[in-house]
Amino acid sequence: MIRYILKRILSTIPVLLIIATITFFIIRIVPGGPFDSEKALPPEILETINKKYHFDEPLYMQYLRYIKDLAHLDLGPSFKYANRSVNEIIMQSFPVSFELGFWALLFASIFGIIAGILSSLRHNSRVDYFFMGLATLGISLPSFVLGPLLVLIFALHFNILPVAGWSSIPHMIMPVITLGAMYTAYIARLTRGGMLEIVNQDFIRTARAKGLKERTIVLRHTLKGGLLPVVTFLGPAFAGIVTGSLVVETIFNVPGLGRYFIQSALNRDYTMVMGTVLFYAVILIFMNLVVDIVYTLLDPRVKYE
Amino acid sequence: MMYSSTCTLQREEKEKKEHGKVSHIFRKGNGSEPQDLDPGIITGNIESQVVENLFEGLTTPDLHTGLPSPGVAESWKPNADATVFTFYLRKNAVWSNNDPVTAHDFVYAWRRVLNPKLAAEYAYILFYIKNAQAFNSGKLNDPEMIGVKALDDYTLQVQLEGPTPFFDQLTYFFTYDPVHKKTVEKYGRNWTKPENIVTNGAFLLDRWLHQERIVLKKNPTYWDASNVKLTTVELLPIENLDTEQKLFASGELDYTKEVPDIRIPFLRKKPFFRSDPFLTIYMYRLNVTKKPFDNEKVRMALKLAIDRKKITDYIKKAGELPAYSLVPPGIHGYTSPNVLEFDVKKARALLAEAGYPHGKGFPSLEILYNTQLDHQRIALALQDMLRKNLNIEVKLFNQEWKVYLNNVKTLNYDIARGGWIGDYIEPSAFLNIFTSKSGMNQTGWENSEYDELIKEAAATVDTQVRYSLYQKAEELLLEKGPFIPIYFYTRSYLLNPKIKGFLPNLLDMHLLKYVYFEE
Amino acid sequence: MSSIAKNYETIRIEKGTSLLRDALYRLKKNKLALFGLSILAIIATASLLTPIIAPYSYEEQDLIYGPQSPNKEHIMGTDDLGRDLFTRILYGGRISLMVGVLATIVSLIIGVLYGSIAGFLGGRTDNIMMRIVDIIYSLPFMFFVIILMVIAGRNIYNLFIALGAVQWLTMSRIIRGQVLSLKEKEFVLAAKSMGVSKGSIILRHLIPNAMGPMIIYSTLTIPTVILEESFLSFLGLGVQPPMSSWGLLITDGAQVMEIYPWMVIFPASILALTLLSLNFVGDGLRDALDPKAKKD
Repeated sequence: MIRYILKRILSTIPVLLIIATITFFIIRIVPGGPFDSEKALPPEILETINKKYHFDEPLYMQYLRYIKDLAHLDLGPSFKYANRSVNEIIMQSFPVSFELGFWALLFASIFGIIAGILSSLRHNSRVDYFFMGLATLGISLPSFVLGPLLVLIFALHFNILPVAGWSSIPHMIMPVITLGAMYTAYIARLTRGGMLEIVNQDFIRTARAKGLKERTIVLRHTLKGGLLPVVTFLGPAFAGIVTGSLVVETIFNVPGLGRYFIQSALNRDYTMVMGTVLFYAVILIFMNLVVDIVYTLLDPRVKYE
Repeated sequence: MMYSSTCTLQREEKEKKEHGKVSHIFRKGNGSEPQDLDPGIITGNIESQVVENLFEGLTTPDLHTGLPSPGVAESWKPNADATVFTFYLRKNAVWSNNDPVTAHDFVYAWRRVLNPKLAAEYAYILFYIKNAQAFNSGKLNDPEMIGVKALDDYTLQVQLEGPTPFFDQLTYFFTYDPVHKKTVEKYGRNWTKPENIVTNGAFLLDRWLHQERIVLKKNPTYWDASNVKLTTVELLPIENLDTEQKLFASGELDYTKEVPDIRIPFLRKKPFFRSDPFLTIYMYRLNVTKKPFDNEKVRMALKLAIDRKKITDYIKKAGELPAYSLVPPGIHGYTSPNVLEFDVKKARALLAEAGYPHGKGFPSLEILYNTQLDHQRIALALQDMLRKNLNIEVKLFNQEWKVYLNNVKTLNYDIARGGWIGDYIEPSAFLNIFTSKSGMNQTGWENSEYDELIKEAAATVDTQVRYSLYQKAEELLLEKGPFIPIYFYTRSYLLNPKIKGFLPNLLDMHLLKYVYFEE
Repeated sequence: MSSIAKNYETIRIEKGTSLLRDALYRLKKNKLALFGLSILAIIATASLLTPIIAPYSYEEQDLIYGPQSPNKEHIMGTDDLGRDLFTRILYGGRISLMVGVLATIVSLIIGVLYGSIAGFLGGRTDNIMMRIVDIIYSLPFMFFVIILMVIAGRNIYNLFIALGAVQWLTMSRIIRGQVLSLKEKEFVLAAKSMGVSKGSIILRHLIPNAMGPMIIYSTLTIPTVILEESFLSFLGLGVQPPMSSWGLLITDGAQVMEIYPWMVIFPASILALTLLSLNFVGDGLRDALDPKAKKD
């Protein structure tokens, strides 16, 4: 197992290099550059800008320059935010997104898994319909509808929560719920589905026949196998959620990293795009490794060698 | 309309409750995160809203008229043909570290902006100064050659490339602001961080929490500090307009940077709704390098077939004026010619003359715009009008901002949305964009007669003569030109009614030094 | 179920009746699934017949009247440009349902095949295949969409490609996870030892046994795709106005929910109803297809 983990960690380097390479070239192919604006710049100004940012060099030279800096973990200066480096921006905004994402996912996992288990145990009962109806609602109410709706109710009508911002615990409540709602729904449905797969399998029936307590059966046997799809989903979901959600962060004006993913792409802030992409990739790859390790814990028969 | 008021009621209730309580913190929505606060680097409105209160240039717009009034310069005078300006600086202006603000600071700042190594995007705004362009493009290497000199510590002399009677308006621009040499040289790229920055304006940069808020505090060393009433200003980067509206409704904001069009009917009559005239035009460019807009008659037919009043009355609704010219109203002494009145009959006749009777045989065209609900609503109306009035079918095509910019620049469009904000209060701020060599032309339209008229006007010192030349040029432009004017913007925003000193202003510059809460 | 029916079913199973007929039989017994199916049928029919049944044109503006709350002429009200909302929802449904279903099918086919191959072959192959998934996952999607648009132009098929190209990733990881666990089970080992080919183990044994998560994840993909489409429209690839889609209607409506609430309530409710029905059908199908379910 340890050999496997080491191998996976080593394989991260070429994977990141491939991601960096593809991203580097793809963003240069796309029309529009970081300094294009509605006011067209005179050609001589464009020339000085191109010189300063080495845009006048051949693309492969710029690429090599970037990779060299990357090897020193330097993501370069942001093109858009002139007095900040990409490293600085990520360091400042990631903790905020992580905090928001962590609570949202915790909230989603707890409620989602409980709802999923209850639904699967009372399969096709009213409990099941209730939770699954709720889950469907959670999925069909996108966060850009749910967020403003919560604000209207709790901030403007009842006046008990602040509209937006990120400076106290009350500020966090609505963003966490908004972000968590959809994930709760996903997790509930996946848990229920996974559980139903297992409940009818022979070894559970055997366990039941042996007269084991229902709770023991659920916790020890069913849940383990039933959580497999949930865990698979949670890996990338975690990577996505802690690196920030554009929609929730803009609705609640949360100073997180999520806004930069789309903003930097829209601004053609090349270094910032590269930075966010690579940062996300590192977390994603790590989470997928965690998922693969968790598989072997949930189902000892899973082997990778 | 019971739902309509959920948002606004709160505010009214809260105001009643808090009546008499005076806060001195002005909380202002400010769009998005500023790219920087370095006056030489920045380019946008978001940044200038902060920077114009941190730094003070030679002149500032007068609160009531918008005309040049003293800033760091106490007085100034141009020579007879407006090619040399001499500024006399006040002796009581100091930096926030108590260093005096001198003419040398301006010389340093302007040379810095023009230095090709800084690669400042807005360096071209200084190109009115003699040799500025040559130095910036590397043709001249000696900064001494640039036409700006400190005659002594408090006298600054500026030599210009040609007659520029409005140069004392250009000096409002942040790009012309002074910077503190020692600070800039000591901290390099980091000099604008709150712990390093040294400023000379009415306010100090207290905190800069990225993506969250910028806190400004009153500057006690500012020469006019006794007249500055606000003690604290918070600027919030709120990208989501809906969130901004709700923050205002709950009383957490005193000013919203914008109001979405779609909400205006509900806000228009409220005491906190403001809509000020603004030196900006909304228009559509026509690509004259392609059929059918290579034909002047077709262009004219489209210009005449648009019912602009319907757009301003039923879509915009904030008091915008229908545009029949390029130069917005409000420039003292200048009136635009009126040749584009809405006239469907004439439009149809022109279209027929051009070979498309009843729109028959008219090629299939696309209206290009950048993705935004407000633009889409206008494009839809345009589509509808062209169909009904000229029997022409056009398709809509929205694109992401930078792709859209690229397509407009490379003339890869048929009809494209466009806009233009005047940098200073003078017809040339608009008319210059459609000269043949202008980078802003972006239509392929070239007219040597127009170019000559603009050139002649620019070299004319007498305002009356110059304006009549501009009028002639604009008439030519409207008749033959490559664009359809739609309306003149207004700046719509919500403002806490207790706030005073925030007056309408054609350039949308509202210096916070004049703003105060009514006691 | 009566004992006769029970016996009958046992016999049918023992005779080895086709899985499909059996599943259909069980599906018919599931009232909720039937309910969902009929709602879906109604919505699908309405979408097909839209040009005939729509009361107004989707682009006809009535600027002077502007937005109206639901009334006799406009049962779901009109939007800010005075266009009939019911008509726009009908037309939008055509696009959204087509996008949702087709992009999901694309993602299902790629994801299931890719995931089960990776999981079954395991080892180095699995490692490489999953790293490719990681790479695609990380790449900035927006740029590919723009490039796709520049190169291939805007049309509805490119929309499916763009959406399907991303959605299959999680699907493939879920299926792979299932297969990793399933392939060590007795029945797979038995098939292997009997010399059944790899391809037919994957198709006959692994995929059918991963049907549950597959169906569930598909029903989750459809709404994601429908809403994602509005982002692609933002980039210019999706639907162009005056045409609309449910995703766009909801996006636009959400911005004015307290002023013109009907502009978000109607499209959102119809989307919710569709998804609810879809879930009922999905669950019914899952129960019906479950090869291990008790036959009582």
